Amino acid sequence: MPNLNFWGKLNTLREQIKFDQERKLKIRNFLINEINNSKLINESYDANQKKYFWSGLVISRYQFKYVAAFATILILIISGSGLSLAAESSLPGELLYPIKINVNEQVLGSLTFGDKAKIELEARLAARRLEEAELLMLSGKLDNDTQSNIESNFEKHSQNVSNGVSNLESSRNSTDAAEITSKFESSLRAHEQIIRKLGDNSSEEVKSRIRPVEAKVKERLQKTSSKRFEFDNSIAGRASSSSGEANNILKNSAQGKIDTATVLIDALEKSILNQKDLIAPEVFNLAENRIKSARSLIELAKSKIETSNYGEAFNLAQNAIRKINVANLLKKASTELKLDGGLKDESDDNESDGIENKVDGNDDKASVQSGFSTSSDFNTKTKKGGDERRDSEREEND
Amino acid sequence: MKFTSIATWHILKMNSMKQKLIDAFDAHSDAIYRHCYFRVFKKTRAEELVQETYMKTWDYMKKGNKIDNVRAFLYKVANNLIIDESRKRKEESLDDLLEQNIFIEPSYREDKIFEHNILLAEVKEKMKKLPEEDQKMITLRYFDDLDPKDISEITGDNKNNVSVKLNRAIHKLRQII
Repeated sequence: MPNLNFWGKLNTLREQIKFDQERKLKIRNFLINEINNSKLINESYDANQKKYFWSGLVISRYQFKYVAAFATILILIISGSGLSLAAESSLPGELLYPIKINVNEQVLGSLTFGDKAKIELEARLAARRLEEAELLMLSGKLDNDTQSNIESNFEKHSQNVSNGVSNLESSRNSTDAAEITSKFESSLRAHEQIIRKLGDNSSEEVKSRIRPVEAKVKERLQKTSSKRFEFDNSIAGRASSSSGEANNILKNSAQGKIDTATVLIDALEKSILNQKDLIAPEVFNLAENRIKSARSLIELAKSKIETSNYGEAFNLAQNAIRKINVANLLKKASTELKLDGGLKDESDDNESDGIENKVDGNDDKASVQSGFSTSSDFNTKTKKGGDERRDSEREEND
Repeated sequence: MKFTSIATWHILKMNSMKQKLIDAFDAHSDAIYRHCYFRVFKKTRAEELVQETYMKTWDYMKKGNKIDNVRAFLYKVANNLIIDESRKRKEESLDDLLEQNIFIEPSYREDKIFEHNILLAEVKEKMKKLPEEDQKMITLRYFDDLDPKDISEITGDNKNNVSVKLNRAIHKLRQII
């Protein structure tokens, strides 16, 4: 070891201590995720303290809430009344519900730009219909009229998602299409379980109205899951003759998915530990199992990266993200709807036999990382200048 | 349409804030990490402190508060977190340090890790004998390479006070070493 004085040792350590770049990237992705999911408005509550939970399409939640807030303010200005605001928390069968559907949500649509965002909005609205159904089920107010209202609106939005995804495919934007399908599948899977649980807890009369809704959700889930599986196979099997550049793109996409999944896993784990007292034990265990399962998938995905199986890695990471999304939704249901368990950890995804292929567009990481630069508008000192100043200061004091 | 342009302006403003924070992460997270590390001497905790620093900064920004000097703000937040940390921290032995996964350049040899850990333990031992405020000043000046003007923006002291505090801290440290 060189015979250094204290300052020399200090300087040596300065050179040696560096921020682990892998960990830095994970924190960066976590930060971006948290920023995008920041609540910009409070969910509205009606006079009876009904409370909504928002099932999460993680990337679109920020846009939805933000646009919802602004659309509400916009409507207030136009209508000159508080009707629209009150309507936001209304449920099928209530007086203000038509304003929510026909005014508020239409304005939301007009303030949403881009094909992907519009389809994600439709998916959110489909989930919103299910949330309304669940609140009605919980309060025992699901009657024949509200049931058929919810079914038809849910079907309408779900079909819009399906049509939108097909359009994205036709315009060769299959990665966005795959991502939307994957997220929608997570949302449907969680709601299917919640609705089934609510049905189990209900009287025979209410059950008879819940089961058709459950069946509709299940049917849509099966279609979405099949479509997602097609996308998995397409990504896995498309380009056996990928160029070097295409392989690099796929590798980066896969790595991006892995990073996103890791951040989401860590965030969910932290969240369930913080809220352990509020979550039903079964749901807590379910979330823990899914976290373990997701971590295993990520490890497998990393090993696929090392063996250059980027398509498989991509699909495995997508699978992990789906598991976490479902667990997150169920956790929220447990805390918001006070479900006391009975939600099963069903196997929900068929792992694809991905092989190398080409990915032609965004993935989760790329979509939230657009346009970031390392430019800084702050003064930074050169190392040389800094060293000279420090040395002269120490000499003065010695 | 007027209302749409207000909405667009607001969206643009939010995006601008996001961009500002991410730019600040890219520009300063290495320095913030180093600062945190030399205050808590734990790799994992230093990483967590970086994350917490930026999250707290975002919380502040999204409430509509303006930050003129982001770098100074980040250091302030980090220092406040470290002060909270120091109230809970207990003494570590060299064995604890050796067990930690201390990052150094990939092309290391076993003896280099050992040397590094010894260096770290020695510096830490000396630094820990100083009061928290003096540790902060030494770290900002000699680890973070900030001049008294920068330090004054971070601490809120005027430049003269910072120079006086620095000299006192160095004097104390000289007596220890």
